[in-house]
Amino acid sequence: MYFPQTVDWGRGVSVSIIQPFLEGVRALTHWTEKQKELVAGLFHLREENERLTKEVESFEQQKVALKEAQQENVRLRHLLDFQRSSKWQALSAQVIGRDLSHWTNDVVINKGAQDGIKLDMPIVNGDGLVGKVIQVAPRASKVILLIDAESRASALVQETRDAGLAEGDGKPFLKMTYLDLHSDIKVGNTVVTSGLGGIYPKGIPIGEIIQIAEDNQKLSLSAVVKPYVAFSKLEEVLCLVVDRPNDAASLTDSF
Amino acid sequence: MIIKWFKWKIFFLAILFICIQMTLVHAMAVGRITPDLLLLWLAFYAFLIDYHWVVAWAFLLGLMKDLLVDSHFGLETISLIGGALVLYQIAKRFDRYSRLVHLWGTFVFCLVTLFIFAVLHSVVSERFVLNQDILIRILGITVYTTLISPVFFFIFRFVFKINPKKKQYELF
Repeated sequence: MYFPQTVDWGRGVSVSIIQPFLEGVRALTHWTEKQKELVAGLFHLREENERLTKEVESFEQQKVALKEAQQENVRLRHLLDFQRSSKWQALSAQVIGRDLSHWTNDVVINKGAQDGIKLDMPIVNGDGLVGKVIQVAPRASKVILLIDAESRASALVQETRDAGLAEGDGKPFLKMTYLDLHSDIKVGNTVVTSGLGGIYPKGIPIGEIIQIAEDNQKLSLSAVVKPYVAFSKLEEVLCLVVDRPNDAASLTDSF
Repeated sequence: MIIKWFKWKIFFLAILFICIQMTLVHAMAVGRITPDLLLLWLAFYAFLIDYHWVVAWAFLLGLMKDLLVDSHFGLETISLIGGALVLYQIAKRFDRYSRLVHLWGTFVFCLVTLFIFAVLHSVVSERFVLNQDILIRILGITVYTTLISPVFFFIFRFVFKINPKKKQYELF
């Protein structure tokens, strides 16, 4: 982005201002969802059997709470597996807000400069690459998603080692461009980061090729990549602490 | 000095809508299409509160949106002001208490605002192309926002205790 520093500063301040509100709304949403599940559980109990005792009711409530905790546990375990298998330190963060505009794809996370978040930090989750940090406020940060039209990542096809550029265009799929015209890439091949751009470390999974075509000039191939990450369902993410991304070792073996 | 049109209640409600737009509204998404609460809020303000200051509020909300969106700075403000000018004319020239006017007024306002933004964005950003896909999305957002507008107008009326019929009699 080529904006004056004052605008960036203003955006940082505005993210800081809005962060407590977002946390509040998020907490309210969680509470409402829990109550909804609780009520649904009670209805279910009533319909199922009138013989159920108060003791069973409390068990049902606990079951709802446990289910929620279990789901969270699975997600966090998935993240933890990623963290263990990667060679970088990682900070976990929660998504507290999504894009305000209809034409951008970004999220707000609940970690900022005070937690060690820095600009251009790669963001991942258990499934693969999510994006990078583009704005840092003291207690919150803004992350541009890989599917945003302004987002690009240097990538390579894991099976054939063909390098290209994975670009977002605001749609749910990515486009991988500048692939060698004579490469042997196939539908179903895995796309990972190549580490050449200097921001994303090498070997983070991006997605799977679902379509291949020649570009308009017929000088190279381009592929449509289905990302592994479900961008609309992001809840927890990891911020990778990569000091020297160019020298970073490969993550490929980990997956 | 307190500016005449500025009301803290309206300002905080606008911030609340921004927060809801960034969180809860995504749960209402149909595909990638979500309704726009800020546009609904401005439409309600123009039709049932005070249409004279709708452009000023559009400027303020646009500025707030520009600060929170990672797009070219100023585009949201310009497009909201453009839409608000159309909204001002609709509220001024037609029966602004009519539910039918609310519906088509909201539709036109959303369509104009989103279209202005898309055109400006395609001019300043080479990676944003104003194609059929974008136009369909604009129409989708507009239709979705218009369809849910009666519900939100009802809630807003309840919150602000506005009785349109009563206001209409005051004109005579």
